[in-house]
Amino acid sequence: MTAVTQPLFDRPRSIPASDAAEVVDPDRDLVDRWRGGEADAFAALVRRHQRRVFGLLLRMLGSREEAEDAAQDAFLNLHRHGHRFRRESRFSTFLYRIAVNAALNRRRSIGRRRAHADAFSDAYAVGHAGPESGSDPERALAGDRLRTRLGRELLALPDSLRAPVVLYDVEGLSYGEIADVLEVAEGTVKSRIHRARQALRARLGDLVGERGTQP
Amino acid sequence: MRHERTARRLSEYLDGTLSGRDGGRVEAHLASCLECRNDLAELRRTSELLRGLRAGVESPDLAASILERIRAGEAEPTLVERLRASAGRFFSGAWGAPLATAAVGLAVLVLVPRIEIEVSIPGGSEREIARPIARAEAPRRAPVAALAARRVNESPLRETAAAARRLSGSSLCWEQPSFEACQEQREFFMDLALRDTRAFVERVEAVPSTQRERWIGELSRFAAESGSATSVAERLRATDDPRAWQMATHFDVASFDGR
Repeated sequence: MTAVTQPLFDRPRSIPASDAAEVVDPDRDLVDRWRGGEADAFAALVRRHQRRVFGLLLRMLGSREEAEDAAQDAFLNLHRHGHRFRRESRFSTFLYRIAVNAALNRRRSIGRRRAHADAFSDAYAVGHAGPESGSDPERALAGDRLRTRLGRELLALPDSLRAPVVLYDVEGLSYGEIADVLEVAEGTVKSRIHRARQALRARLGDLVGERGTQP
Repeated sequence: MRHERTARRLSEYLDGTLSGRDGGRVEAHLASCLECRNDLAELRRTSELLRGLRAGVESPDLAASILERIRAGEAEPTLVERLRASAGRFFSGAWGAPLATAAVGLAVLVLVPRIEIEVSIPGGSEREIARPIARAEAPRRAPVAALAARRVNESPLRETAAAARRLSGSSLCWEQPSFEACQEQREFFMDLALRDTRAFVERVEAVPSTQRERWIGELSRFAAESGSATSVAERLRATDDPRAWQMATHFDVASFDGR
């Protein structure tokens, strides 16, 4: 199991968790300074990671408002429990774990409020400054519609499938890192990503294949 | 490679994580199977669409408001956490962390009196409200075997099993406007909090979300009245579960309010 087939398309992939201990954690310096009592270092960590944390929470929760609240929860919990970070994994992995937990927490509390996927907020599209939103309004609209549709289909997945596929395909983590974040075996991550993609593929039928809307 | 086996591994193949040998087998099957080639193409397109979500998310700047909330004390480590941290510095080395935890445990044991207060709650029998908690706490708190042994005949486990049976058939008291009818539930939850913190967290999470905050507020007040709020908070924080950490803050606040 040494040689690995070439990926079919280029994807900047972060370092597998098994190697993470030997690799310099890019956040190490800031984490040390924060633990040394520098409030600025914590603010710098928040600024460095807020886009990724917010992006993940947006995919997990579906609305910018919920995602922002959950991101605040996550960073406050980070500040409160940062001493639990043992450097066995990367700081970003630790932070993702806190963020996923914040999302699951919030979903439990909003589960009943949002009984239907119809209530899914258009906020998904609002505030996205994707490459399409330039000169061509029609393309921008199509891009927004696509994101909204993808977001809605993601929300329809169970949490256990949505989290791994978002972490892999959207956030670009490796299988090993996702196993660390979700605290499950790597084999479980692989099969959940596959099941999540299959479920999404079926729901996105018309968008992903020549076989149309066939289930 | 057989068809079903290939179909299961298409995502791994797509992600380039199969070994050369397994990858070769998948390729050999793909060459002869149109269905799998179609599946692969659609999975690839799905993955590409998801990757497209990566671009263009504008995050609000959270740092300012988070720092403000931290300054307002919302992320303060609690007294027990600070104690554990300073004890940790004192007991450095390989055994530092367990020693520090033990030291804080002992300090709590010595400093927090295990009082069995007589609390007056309308509609409740005073003696029974406070005592099961004080009893339940002692064996867990004490690292000293003798103390546990002295209490063994008063083990709350039997009572708890009975309480669980009674509760399963009882009405959901937290849906009532007042908690007067909740005495059994309070005792059951508090006993669980001290005995099996994970189970406690799951039980609380099972309470409907609209009632949960109210119910945990009630539990934390109840715990503060019997002097166990601090140790419940500590147990909740000792888990790896952020849901439990959030519950812990209720018990912290109640323990300070109660002083």
